[in-house]
Amino acid sequence: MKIEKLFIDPAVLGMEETETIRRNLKLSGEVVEKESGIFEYLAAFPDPVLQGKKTLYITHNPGALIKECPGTSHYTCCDYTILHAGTFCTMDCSYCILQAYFNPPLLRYFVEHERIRQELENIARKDRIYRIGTGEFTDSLIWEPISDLPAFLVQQFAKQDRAVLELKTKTVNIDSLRHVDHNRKTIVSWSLNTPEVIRSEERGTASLPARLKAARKCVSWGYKVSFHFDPVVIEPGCEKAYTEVIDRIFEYIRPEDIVWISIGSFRFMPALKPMIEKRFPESKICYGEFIQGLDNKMRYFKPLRIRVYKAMADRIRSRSREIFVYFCMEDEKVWNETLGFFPEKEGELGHMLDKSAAEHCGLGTGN
Amino acid sequence: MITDKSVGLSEIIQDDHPYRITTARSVDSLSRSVDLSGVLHPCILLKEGGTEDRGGYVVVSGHLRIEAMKQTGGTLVPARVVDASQDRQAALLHCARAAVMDNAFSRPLDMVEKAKGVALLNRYMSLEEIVKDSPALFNERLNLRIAENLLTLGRQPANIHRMVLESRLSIKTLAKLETFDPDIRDRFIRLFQYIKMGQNKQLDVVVHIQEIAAREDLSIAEFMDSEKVDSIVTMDHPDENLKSAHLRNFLAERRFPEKTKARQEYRAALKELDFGNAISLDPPRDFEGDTYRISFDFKTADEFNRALDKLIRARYSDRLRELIK
Repeated sequence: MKIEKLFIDPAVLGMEETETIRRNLKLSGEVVEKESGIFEYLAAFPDPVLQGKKTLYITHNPGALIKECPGTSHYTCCDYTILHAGTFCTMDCSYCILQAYFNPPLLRYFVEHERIRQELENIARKDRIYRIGTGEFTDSLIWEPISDLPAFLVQQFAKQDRAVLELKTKTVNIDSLRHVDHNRKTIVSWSLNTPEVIRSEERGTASLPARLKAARKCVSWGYKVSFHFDPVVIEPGCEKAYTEVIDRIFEYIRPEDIVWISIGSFRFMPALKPMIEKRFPESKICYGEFIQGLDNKMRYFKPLRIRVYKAMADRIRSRSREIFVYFCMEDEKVWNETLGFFPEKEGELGHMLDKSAAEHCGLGTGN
Repeated sequence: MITDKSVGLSEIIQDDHPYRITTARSVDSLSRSVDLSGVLHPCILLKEGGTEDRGGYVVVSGHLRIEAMKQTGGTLVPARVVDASQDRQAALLHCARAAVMDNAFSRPLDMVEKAKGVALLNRYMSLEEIVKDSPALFNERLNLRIAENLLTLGRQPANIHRMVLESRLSIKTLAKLETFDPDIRDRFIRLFQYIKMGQNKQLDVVVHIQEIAAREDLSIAEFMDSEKVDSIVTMDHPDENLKSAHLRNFLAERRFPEKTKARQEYRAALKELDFGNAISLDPPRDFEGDTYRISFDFKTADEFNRALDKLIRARYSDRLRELIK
């Protein structure tokens, strides 16, 4: 999706990051005193969500820059840390929670290079390992064609050994990462799905082969990579389709270059359903066999989840028993029946991921 | 613009009632009242042009009073007459408001009356304005969503209004049906003419049918025409609750096949534990959580002991372990 309209907060006018984006977008932009003016602009369109994907607001982040992932009760969380560098996305996935998360959703780029530098200095002084990602409220690499944010982050993380950066994407916007000294402190990560789901549900994203080729390129540049099967969409025949995607991963990437693979099935707040039905009338994604989870989100009936996860986990393990496989937001029964263990103690999954990150990326070693 | 006068019944238009919102039909009691004391409150009429064979006054409010007068042989109607010759738009808006307010402040309006009122006012006012003025217009506060649903209902033909009044069709279901093509909407209407059910169940049926069709790559029409659906709908049985239950069970099973299978297996396994009807062993909701719940009723110490014996026997049962795995 091409950014067509640019709004700028007067507080960031003239700053280097702002000017870079203006130049790259070839848009001079409109200075707005209040964000509410942009909301009124968006509300006038028949599909404000779609327009929000073409409308960028350059501003400061008014809140916390570093946040702990909120997780959810009753299901095991990976204890990820979020670097809140921007919001929303130029791609248009039917299942995207961000459609209903912000009101109304809008592309926001936060001019925060200096704060990021300071936060990372603080983190480097702490006696723990951090896994930090920018892909919670936005796609990490949609910003690559218009700003130096991804390359800047890679450079900053390279200077310390307490935290690893995970850039999570469905794009192939990796060119600016090529000549950066990353010092193994960045994991480039792709969200993967079956070609059918990518075609039907992930508008404007890169194809599966394109994502895997981009991953291979990153590996050739010395980066470690990771993959996230999230959301797994459960429909008849999906086990075969997902295990075929797993086979394809290993056609492109050696197991030792993969830091972890996560699996999580489609889950959604009930409020998202009417939004999907309205914006994606051809999509059947909401019509799976869902039940209301303990966190009140809709999720697939547990035996269905277990069946698909087991097929996927078995296939990954048949390729390599070394790759760390974990579930995003699942319970004890699912873990035990599919992977044969459950990270029971609070923070245990996080520690396991920290360990994998440390081994692959040289964290905590003074490298 | 408004004058009080008596208007001959013959001057009042009898075959066109654009301001009528009342759903009442019988005027027997009112006729007796009019016969006894005459029309106590003047009707509101809108003065239109009129022709030789058609009167020149449109009834804005007082349809039942005029009907009662006709039955009792009255000839002159006490009325407040609105003249639209000067500022027509203002006069029409005044009439729409008067038609709603005259009813709403004399008795509680039913759903169809409110809907017809909203539809009438919406010719001259936006929905937002109607919502804002709703306490003064309807003698109750409406919100925008309710007003939207009422407008949808207000624009429907008489047969739909009748179904709503007979509780055969809910306003929420109707709003959902409006998102479909007219042919599909009419199929659902026919379905609910055959089988009566509550508002939530009705909505569930619509949503399940829509989602089953989407899951199975069928059109809604194809699914509704299928032999099984047709056999339930046209089942020759006087008990509509039974037909409703049959239909909902069939749809739930088809929409959630794995969950239904798991429930059936659980029930079958539970039966083998021989708990009988007195003891309930409930699985986690939708088998998602990990907490089971057991409960039993008893009236006497003997009943309590019998239930306890059954539970103690069950604790060594492999069946129980399989059930709670």
